[in-house]
Amino acid sequence: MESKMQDKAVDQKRSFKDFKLLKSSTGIKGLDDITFGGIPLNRPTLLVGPIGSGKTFMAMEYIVNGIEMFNEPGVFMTFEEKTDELLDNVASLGYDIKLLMEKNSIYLEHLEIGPNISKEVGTYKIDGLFVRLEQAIDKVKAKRVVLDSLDSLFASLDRHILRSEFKRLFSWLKEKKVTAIVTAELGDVFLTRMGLEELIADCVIELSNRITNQISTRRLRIVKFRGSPHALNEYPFTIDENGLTVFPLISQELQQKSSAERISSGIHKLDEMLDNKGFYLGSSILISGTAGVGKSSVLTSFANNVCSKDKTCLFCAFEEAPNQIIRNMASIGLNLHPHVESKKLQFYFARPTLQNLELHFMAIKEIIKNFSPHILVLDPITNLMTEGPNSDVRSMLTRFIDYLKTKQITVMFSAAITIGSISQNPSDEGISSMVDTWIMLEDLELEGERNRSMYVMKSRGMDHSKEVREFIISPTGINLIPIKRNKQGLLIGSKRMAAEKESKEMAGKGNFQHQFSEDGAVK
Amino acid sequence: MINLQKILDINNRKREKNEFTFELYVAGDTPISLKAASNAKAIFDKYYKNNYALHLFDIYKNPALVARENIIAVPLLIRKNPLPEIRMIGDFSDIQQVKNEFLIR
Repeated sequence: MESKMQDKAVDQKRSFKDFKLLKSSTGIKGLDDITFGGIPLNRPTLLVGPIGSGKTFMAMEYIVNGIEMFNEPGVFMTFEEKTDELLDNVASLGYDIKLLMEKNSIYLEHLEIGPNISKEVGTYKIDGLFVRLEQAIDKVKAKRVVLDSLDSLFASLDRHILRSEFKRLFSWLKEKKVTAIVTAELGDVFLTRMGLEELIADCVIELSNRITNQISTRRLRIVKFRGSPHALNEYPFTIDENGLTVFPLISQELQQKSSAERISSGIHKLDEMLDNKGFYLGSSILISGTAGVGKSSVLTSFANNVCSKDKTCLFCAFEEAPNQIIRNMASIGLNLHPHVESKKLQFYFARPTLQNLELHFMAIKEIIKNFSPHILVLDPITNLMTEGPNSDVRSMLTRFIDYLKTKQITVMFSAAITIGSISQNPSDEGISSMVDTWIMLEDLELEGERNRSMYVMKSRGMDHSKEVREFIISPTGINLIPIKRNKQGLLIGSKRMAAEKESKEMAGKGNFQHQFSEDGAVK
Repeated sequence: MINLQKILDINNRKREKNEFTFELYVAGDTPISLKAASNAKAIFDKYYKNNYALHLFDIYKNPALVARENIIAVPLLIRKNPLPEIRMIGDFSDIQQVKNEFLIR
C-alpha cells in the first residue's frame, strides 16, 4: 500500500519534470544550448544591449534561421534603419533577404517614426502599429516577429503612456501566437525604473560589447527565462560571415577519443625523456620558458619532423612573420622551405591585437577545416593572453583544445613566462591544467654564464624522465645532454666542455686516471 | 451611444470648399477616439467657424490607410490644407497646445 502511494508520488514528480516550456529554436549556434532549446514559444523575448552589440544581427538571424531551418515565415519591423540600408548591412553576413522577400517568407518594413510624433496633445495609443503588424503577420503567415528597436519607437513618447502601451503590445503579440524578439537599448536603470522586466518579458537576453586592452569581445547573457532553466554565465559570441555563434563550454564534445599512438617530438633526446616514444597523438603540449630560451626552436623541430614524415602542420605565428621563422630556423639546421613548397607546412600569421582571441581561433578553425593538419603549432600563446583577463583566455583556450582533441590534432604551444612567475603566482599558469605534457625550458645562470636547461614538468599517462638536462641549440639542431656534477658543482656549458676536454686528455694518458677515480681519493 | 461619424457629418455637409482641411485617424469607437473627435471639433468650430472640413477615419475599418499615412500612434490629427502638413497625436485635451501648434491666436 505504502509503496503504491510512493509510486504515485514519484509518477507525479516525473510528470512535473517532463513538463517543458515550449520553445522556439533560434538556430543560432550555441544559443539553443544555453537556453536548452530556444526562446519561449509564442512569447516575446527582450533583447537588450548597447549600440553596436549585435542586436539587429541576432534578431535578423533568428528570422532567417526560422525560414531556412524551420520553415517559419517572419516579420522584421525596423524603426531604425532604412530597408535598403538594412538589406545591405545583413548582406555582408551572407543573408540574401531580397530572395526571401520574393518568396514571400519574410516581410520587412521600415517604419519611420520621426515626423509621426510631431506633437503629443493628451493621451494616445499605438494601435497604428498593431494594425501594421497584423497586416504584416497575415501577409506572410508569420510565426516569428522582430521589432527593432523599442528605443526609436518610443524615443519621444511619454513614459507613462509607454509603459501601458508596452504591456498592451506584448500581450497582443502573445494573442497573435507569434514568437517575438524585441530589441532595446534600454539600460538597466531604465528597465528597472519602468518595471519592464517583470512586466513583459518572459525572457531577457543581454548583449554587451566589452573592451579590454583595446580589444572588444561580444558577450551574451540570459538575464531571465521564466519557467525554464538556463545557463547563467556570460558567453562570448562572434558575428562573421557564418552568422552569429555563441560559445558555451557545454557545447563542445568532451568525450574525445584518446589515442595510444605516439608521435615523435622531432628531438631524439626529448623522445628519450618521454618514455622513449614521444608525445601521445592528439595530446596538447605546452613549452614554457623565459624569453630567448629556445621555445620556438622546439616548436619548429616538432613541425619540421612531422612534415618530413609526410604529414601536415599548421604553424600559427603571433610573433614572427613566416619568412623570418624560415630564415631563423635555417640557422639551427631546420630547412622549412621544402615543406612550405610541398604545402605540408602552412602558416597562419596574425598580430594578436588584430582581433579578439575567439576570432583568431575561428580563423584557425576555418583553416583546419580545409587543410586538416596532423599537428598544430601556436607560437606563442602568451601573446594572445595580453588581450584579456586570464580566465577569459583560459576558457577560450580550453574550448579550443577540446575542439582540437575531437579532431585528434596534436597541438604544441609555447608560453613565455617571466623568471619566477610560477612560484609567485601559480594561477597564472592555469593553462597547465589543460595540457597533457608540459615542458619547461630554463635559463641557468652559473658563474657569469647563462646556459639553457630543459625538463619535463608533467606528462600525463607516461613514465617520463624527471631529470634536468642541458639544452643545447647548435647549427646542427637541438641536443639534450644529461647534466653531470663533480666536486666543484654542476658541469654545464663551458665547465662541461672543459671537463670533457680534460677527461679526454686523461683518457689519452692511460689507466692512471681510472685507478685514481675508483679509489675515490687522491693517492 | 454617440456615433462618431455623426458629430462630424453635420459639419462637413454644409460646404464644398474649405480653407482648412483636417484628417483625424482613430482606432475604433473607443472613449479616447470620441474624446479626440469632439475636442478637435470644438476647437475648430470655435476658431475656424464654418471654414473647415474634418474627415474621420477608423484604422481598424480601413487598415490600408495605416501604411499610406505612416501611422503608429492614434488618435492622429493631420492638417492637410493649408500646407505644410502638421501632425498631432493625442486626445487634444490641452486646447492651448493645439492652438499653439496650428498657430491659432
